Amino acid sequence: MKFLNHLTFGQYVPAESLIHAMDPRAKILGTVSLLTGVFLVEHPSAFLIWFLLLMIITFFSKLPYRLILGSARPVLILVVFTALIHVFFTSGTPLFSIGFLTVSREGISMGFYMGIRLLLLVLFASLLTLTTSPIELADGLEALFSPFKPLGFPAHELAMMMTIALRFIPTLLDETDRIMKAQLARGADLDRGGLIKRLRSFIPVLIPLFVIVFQRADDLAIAMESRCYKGGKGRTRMNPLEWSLSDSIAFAICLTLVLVLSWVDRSIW
Amino acid sequence: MSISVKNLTYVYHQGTPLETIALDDIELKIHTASWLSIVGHTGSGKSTFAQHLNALIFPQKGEVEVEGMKVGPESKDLRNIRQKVGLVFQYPEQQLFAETVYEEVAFAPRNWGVKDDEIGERVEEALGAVGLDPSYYARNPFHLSGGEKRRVAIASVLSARPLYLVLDEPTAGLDALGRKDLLGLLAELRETGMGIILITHDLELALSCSEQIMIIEKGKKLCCGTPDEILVRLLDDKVHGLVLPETAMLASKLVSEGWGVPLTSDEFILARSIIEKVKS
Repeated sequence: MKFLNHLTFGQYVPAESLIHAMDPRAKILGTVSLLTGVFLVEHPSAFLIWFLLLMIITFFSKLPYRLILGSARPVLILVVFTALIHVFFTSGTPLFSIGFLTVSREGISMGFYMGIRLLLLVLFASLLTLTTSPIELADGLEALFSPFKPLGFPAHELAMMMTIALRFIPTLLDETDRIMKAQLARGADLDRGGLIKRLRSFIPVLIPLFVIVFQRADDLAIAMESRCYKGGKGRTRMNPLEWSLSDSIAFAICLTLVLVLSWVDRSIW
Repeated sequence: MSISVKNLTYVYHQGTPLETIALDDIELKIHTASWLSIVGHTGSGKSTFAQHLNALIFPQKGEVEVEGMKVGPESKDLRNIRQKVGLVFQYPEQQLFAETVYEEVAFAPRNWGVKDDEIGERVEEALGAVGLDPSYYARNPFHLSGGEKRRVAIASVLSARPLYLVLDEPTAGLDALGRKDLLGLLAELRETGMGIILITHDLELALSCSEQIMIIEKGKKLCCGTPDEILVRLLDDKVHGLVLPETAMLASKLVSEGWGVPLTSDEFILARSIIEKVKS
């Protein structure tokens, strides 16, 4: 029984690679620019270039390709659902109808574009989280948002919330897995029957999980207060972030790729 | 009447950088009316082994058979296997969800399709076995003490009337009295003919109550035998992460000094033997 074994989205896998060694700010900015590029694609064959780019970055990250591609598995249903919504609800030249739903030429095109874009978004985001530890990711975000602090933007608090959320993803997955197994061992039937029956059968999993989550939140709050946590003011860092020349080069490559590919997409194809 | 484990191997996250061998070629036979303890330090694979017995995990290599029923994805007897082998997870009180103690304990028999008129009988029997009287039936399990919650959780597994009871670190978080009570309950269940399989990292606990002990390290079966055999083996060959009881260490020292006392982890036996030697 596999349960939650295949959930890699949001996980960090340590390795010694060029991508792992990059400054988290460079990785975040690079990923954002690449994702912007993905959403600027106008010609379907340009998506192949983006997939190729994803594979090249994966190669440099020294992570297995199946790990990166497997991270999209949990969101495949969402990708298909998004694509179908666009197929059925985009107005345009009608092709055929299924009941009250009409499929248009533009709908199929939009469904394809949105599906692939969402898939690439998840894959690039996974690559970022798989190669960046949660602490680095939060430090990077805090550093990137810190210029907005004088405007009242809670950069440190957001980064801390994100660190805690990311830190607890694997823990809560383990807890969920354990509770599901405990209820299955008591004869619970979690994966049979219609939607309502399945939702009802998950009550014995959800209630203990909520109890554990609140208990953990309480424990963590006490642990943080007992160590004199008072927010980000006056805190120093053990490992301050250092932006190196290679980070500038990597970010410049990402930006250039986005600009060049967008220009090629619009002007040549 | 047995659980048979042959060449059982299990690997987590196979083919990824997180690949971990949890079980490696384990062989074992477990009978009803016996007490087997599986001992190993954290991460040795003992919990993974326990979950195979209840068909929550399927063997990747090798086989597990419960009362002649094969554990595997194709098996049509999965629910039957889970009914025969009750599994109590570590901190079982964290699985509680119902509004009353009665409903919590009735959860398993309801799932197994037991008729309503028999459910009351089973709830009474299971709660009685863990020492909770009918005044608890209508109480909210979340308002009970830690020890009481654990008793309710164990009763909720016993109400399915399993042939075997697998307990994963059942004494974790219990005080000395709670631990003694729990071990007493397990000894009583063993006397009724139930097979007790205790998963623990506490060698002293295993030596004090088991008939058979299997030591597991890095997923491999290191040795299996009676508590006395295991003690002799571990005195010769220490296992990383397992601490021998001080009584056993003292007995070993006395034997090596020529005192002729038995090699035991039982302090009463050792004390009596020392007194006899001193008197004579």
